[in-house]
Amino acid sequence: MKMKIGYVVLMLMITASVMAANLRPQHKITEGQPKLMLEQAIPQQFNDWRVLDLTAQLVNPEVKAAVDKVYAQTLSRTYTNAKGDVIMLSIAYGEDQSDSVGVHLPEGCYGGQGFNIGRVVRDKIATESLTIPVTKVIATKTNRIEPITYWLRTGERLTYPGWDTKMSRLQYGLTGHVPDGMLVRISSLTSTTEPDDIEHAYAIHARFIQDLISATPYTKRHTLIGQVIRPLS
Amino acid sequence: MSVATMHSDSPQRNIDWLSWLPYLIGLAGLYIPSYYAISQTLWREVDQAHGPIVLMVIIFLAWQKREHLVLTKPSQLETFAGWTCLLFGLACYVLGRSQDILMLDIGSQIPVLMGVLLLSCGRKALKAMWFPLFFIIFMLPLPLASITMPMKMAVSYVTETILFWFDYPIARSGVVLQIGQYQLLVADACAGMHTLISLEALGLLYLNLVKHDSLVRNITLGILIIPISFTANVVRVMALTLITYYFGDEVGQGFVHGFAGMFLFIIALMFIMAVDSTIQFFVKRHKGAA
Repeated sequence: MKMKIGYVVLMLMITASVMAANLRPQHKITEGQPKLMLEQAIPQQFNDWRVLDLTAQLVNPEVKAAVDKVYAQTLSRTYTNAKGDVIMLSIAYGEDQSDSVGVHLPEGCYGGQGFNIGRVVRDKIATESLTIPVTKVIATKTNRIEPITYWLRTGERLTYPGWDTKMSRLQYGLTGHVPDGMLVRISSLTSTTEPDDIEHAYAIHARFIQDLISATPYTKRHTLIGQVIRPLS
Repeated sequence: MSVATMHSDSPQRNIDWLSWLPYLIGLAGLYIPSYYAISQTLWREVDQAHGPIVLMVIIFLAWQKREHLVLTKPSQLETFAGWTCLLFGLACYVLGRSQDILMLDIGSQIPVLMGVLLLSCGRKALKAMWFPLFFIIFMLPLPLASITMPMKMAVSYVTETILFWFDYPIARSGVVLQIGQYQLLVADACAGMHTLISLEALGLLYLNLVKHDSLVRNITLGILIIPISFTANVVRVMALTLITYYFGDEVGQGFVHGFAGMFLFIIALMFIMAVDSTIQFFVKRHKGAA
């Protein structure tokens, strides 16, 4: 009797092992597509925005090493417009966004560098193509105040960070696909934490995002916002 | 176990390896791939480096209780509960393993092992093994960033306050300490959950080795390990800050930085033993008075 139970348990365990091995997603959804070139995909100049050349940017080597390990490609640019507004655009792209190498959210990255992270707010920004589900957060460190707007693309969907992203990834995974992932972050510096200043900064972020999407050719928009017209939320 | 030792021991104390074989093969088939995977990914991350230590403690604790693993015919209730746990655990395993959800992959060991224990040895074995099973939680990649940051802030704050009190030229902004011309960042590894969990494991191992019978003393010490690890962290960050101040950046970030990790464990262990002796003293005096 004892022996019998043992062998039934063994059979079940072997079945579970084989199932787990066979259910592992194999197909990267980017397979067969031309390799994404971030530098070329994002226009340098659009509407009245143009890239500001900041060669003397401070790079923390430890952070850079960590970022390079997680992402296949990163892009970091500073844009300015006719009114003198300055926007920092940072894009991180990974072909394989499995659990172990998931996107690192700004909340964590900034926190790790000694920033204080304010309340995390979810919002939506309507663009020419679709409404983007964005997350807003304010990072502060002594006298540096940096409102951030960012969104995540998981495969062909735009997702909020956390559960939403995890469930999307799981849906892809259970059908045998490995989604790629992108994190698009827009931020700027403000002089105070007054609500007016912060709102003004976020309004500029929204306009920048709308201009960026409109200026990106249709064939390349999926890079930034995926191909699903209705975002999951 | 060799044949010779099997003969020399009394028959009841022997482990019936043949009956355990299917369970052991099954568990190996399930979890060798999982452990191989996390040894390549999770355990290489700085804040999860305590994983192997925790695993060794779990194995040690379970081995200590091996005499409770006596194969019995399970009752109806044990059979029902056992299959339920096992099937639930295996479902978690399949989902977690195939989709790279480490929480479910590694976490499934708890229900799977619970099921195996109930079906093979009944609830007595489960009761004996509850602690090693519980300890598996510490191997999971828990979302601890929310605890790590305040802890780092607190360690930086206390370090700054104490050194400032001793008239050192120290200033702090967030978790960045500035001493003299040097700037030090209190990283996750310096004050994260990694050290807290490793120290908790160390403390529990200590408790197990000295085999306390007093429950009050065990629980008190278990809780006190948290402030102890905090204090040990402050001592370490302070030591590194002063080494950097007197001997320069290269010394502070080189060999000494690695050595400070060992230093931390030694300090913490000393604290644990000191606190334990104090508790023991009071428990004895209380008993003497009563």
